[in-house]
Amino acid sequence: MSPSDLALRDPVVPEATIARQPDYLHAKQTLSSWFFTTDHKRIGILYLVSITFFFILGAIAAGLIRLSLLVPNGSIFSNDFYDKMFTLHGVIMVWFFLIPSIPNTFGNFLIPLMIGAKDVAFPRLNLMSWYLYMVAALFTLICVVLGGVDTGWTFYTPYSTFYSNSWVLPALIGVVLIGFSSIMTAVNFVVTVHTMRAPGMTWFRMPLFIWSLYATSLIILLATPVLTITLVLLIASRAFGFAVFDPANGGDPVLYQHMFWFYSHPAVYIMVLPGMGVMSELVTAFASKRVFGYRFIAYSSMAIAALSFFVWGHHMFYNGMSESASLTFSILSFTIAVPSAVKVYNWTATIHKGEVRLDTPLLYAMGWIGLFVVGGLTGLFLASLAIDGHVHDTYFVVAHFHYIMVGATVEAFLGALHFWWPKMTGRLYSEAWGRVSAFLTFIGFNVTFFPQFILGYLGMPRRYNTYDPQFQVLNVVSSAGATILAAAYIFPMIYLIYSLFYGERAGPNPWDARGLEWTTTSPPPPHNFETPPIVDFDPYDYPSRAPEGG
Amino acid sequence: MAEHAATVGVEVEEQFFSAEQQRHVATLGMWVFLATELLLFSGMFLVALVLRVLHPASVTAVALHLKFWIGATNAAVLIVSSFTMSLAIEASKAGLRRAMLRFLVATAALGVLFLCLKAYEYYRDWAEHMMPFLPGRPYVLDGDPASRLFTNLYFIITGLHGLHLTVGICLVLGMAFFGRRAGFLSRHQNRVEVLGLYWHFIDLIWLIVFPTLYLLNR
Amino acid sequence: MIGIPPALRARARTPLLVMVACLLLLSTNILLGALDPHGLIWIVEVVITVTMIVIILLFSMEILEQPGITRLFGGLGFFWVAILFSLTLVDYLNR
Repeated sequence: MSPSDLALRDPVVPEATIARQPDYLHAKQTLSSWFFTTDHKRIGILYLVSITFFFILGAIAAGLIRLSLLVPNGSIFSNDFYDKMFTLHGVIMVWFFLIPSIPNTFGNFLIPLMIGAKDVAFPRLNLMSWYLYMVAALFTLICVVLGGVDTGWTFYTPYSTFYSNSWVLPALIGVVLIGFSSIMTAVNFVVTVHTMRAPGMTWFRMPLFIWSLYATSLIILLATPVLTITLVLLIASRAFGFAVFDPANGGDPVLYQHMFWFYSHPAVYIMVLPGMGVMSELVTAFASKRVFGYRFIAYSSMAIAALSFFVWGHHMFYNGMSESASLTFSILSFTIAVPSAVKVYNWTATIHKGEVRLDTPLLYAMGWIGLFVVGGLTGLFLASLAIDGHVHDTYFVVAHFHYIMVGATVEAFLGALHFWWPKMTGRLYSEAWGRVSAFLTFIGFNVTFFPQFILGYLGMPRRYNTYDPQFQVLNVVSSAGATILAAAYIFPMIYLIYSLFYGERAGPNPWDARGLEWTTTSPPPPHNFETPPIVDFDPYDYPSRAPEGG
Repeated sequence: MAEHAATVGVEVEEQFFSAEQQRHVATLGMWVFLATELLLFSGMFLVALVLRVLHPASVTAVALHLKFWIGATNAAVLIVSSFTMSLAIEASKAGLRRAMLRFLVATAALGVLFLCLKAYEYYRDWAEHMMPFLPGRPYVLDGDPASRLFTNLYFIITGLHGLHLTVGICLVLGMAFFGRRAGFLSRHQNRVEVLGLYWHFIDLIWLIVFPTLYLLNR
Repeated sequence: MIGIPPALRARARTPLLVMVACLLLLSTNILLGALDPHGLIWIVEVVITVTMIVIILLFSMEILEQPGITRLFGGLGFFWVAILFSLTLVDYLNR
């Protein structure tokens, strides 16, 4: 057969070269184009990589804690090593994963895309925030790994000021630095949402993800400086014997707790609110339905942001605070359940009678609802003075806040990662593996943490390496659950990275979702949109379903 | 000789649609940042208040040892510096570059005067044994352990304010340095206004620090 | 006014008034502090201090000339300081 015949039989069609501007990942490929980028999408990716790295470290520490608690007598690790591991777990997870997780990765990537802007308001500040994050995180990491810190993530006085012999001082400096990084990002987001919206993008046309990130940024702005100054006072105490939090010299450790929780309670909502924003996007896209009660969800985000500052005292009911203050904080703490419940009901109502596709992101979202409801309701137990007297400083509290933080933040983080992965990378991942991981996360999480509610109710105190032998069975169950959870975290890392190279190419809108970010190409071009968008549609304008039987 | 007014405006960066938007962004950004600064300082004011509630006698004893007149003079110095800063902003709005430079330098000079007075005050504190954090050096109110708390707080508050002022002076001098070039006002006029906000805020904080530490506890 | 170019004189009026007002209020405060005539005089001193803060916010920082959202952030900071102080004092004043 002659070559020309062959060509006739199998014609080789040259690939069509379309004159299209390269996307943000391929615009420039040098290392310096990543490390000196001011493109919000690339900064989002930088954050995604670094935050995932710190999440793995924190998770390894958690694994070691669960390993140690397999036996009641603490014979696996020394008490000192155990203390250092749970401090490492707390510090890394709270400040270097949970707080920046969704805002700094998906917020950076999506806010300008969702509001139709070319970039955030202060692109250079945005890059600086990442550098500060890295400096603070690596510095803190070196401190907690080389020297070890044994105070727990709360740095409670007077132990942290005068008694601990570990590397508290440098760790405090690291946490102060990370605070500046959060503030920079939050200033950026607030100003961006206020001033950079595309023509026609009114406040009530914004996706609910933007509303919740806006509320989150407000909390960061108003709470973080108080943490900064509290830790500065703590640094002064440790370095110069300032003693303001030391009862032996006339100081007051409760004052430290007031100031610490003025930040750290709202910080819980810094972790949860972005997850709530993700929920609104996932639920509408996979129920293919308008969100139920848009304004209620938007306002409840703002209400949570405001109310979160009125409830910090419920961490201090049994710490020597006056009774009238306890009563005030207890009552105020109940109020914040209202906006949280409003959101959950609205999402459930959105899924109800929608054209539901049970894809990976929605599975994560449904897991989110399940875990958040348990975490939220047990929060009401803890807000009641009498029940808190029984279960405070037990594993009941540990289980409660893990249902909120891991349940609500990590589930949402993974859901968001799966939902926007095609937009960020231009590739589709394996749906089957995605569903398996979503199920495993939910099951593994409940097996790990539900026994801890029972343990706490039975009276097992938190923070110790040893416990009464009668608690061993439930502790072993909990540790076994942690291994399932570990698998659920490892799977996505493998198949997502695999999809980068071998995944199917995603079109601009693989989920058939609404929102400006789905109108541009995947991955988006460097300036986000080929032509500046003009918004003349409502958010979540999914087609109303045809009448049944019609 | 009267200076000719230069054109005034801002150069639009690529992420913005218009100069007006860019101005709004810069000013709003500074206000948002100042809100965080306010909460930073108020954490320390809260500690001062709580100390006053817990140990009123010790706090008064310390306040009577503070150098009331230096603190008061410094408040006046900062009020005048705010005035020169306002004039620098007005000059920049009017396109009078050289007048703006003069007022910026005057503002920085007043800031330096504040720091010099502050340094002298610290020296007097040292001489009068009012530095309880120095190991080995006797402390004048040694019989009153709770007084150490307020004395130390005084150094932390004034130190942090001094740090902010030092940053402010550097920024003002930097602005004066870059403002020498002709055409500065046509490209970056709003930077002077934004810097001015920060400067007024430092002044405002001192006007709270002065009563909190020196005045109300006497 | 010495050193102020003629073109600026009209614009310098408000800053000048602000400075004079603040200096007068400050001297009143200093006088009250130095003489300390009455145990409750601190109330007057606090009122004077608040007046100075308001003057600076209104006239030096020109908060009223800003768009609504900027004004909101000016106020927000002070409101949150109020939350911090009031709820903490609920504890300390009831011990």
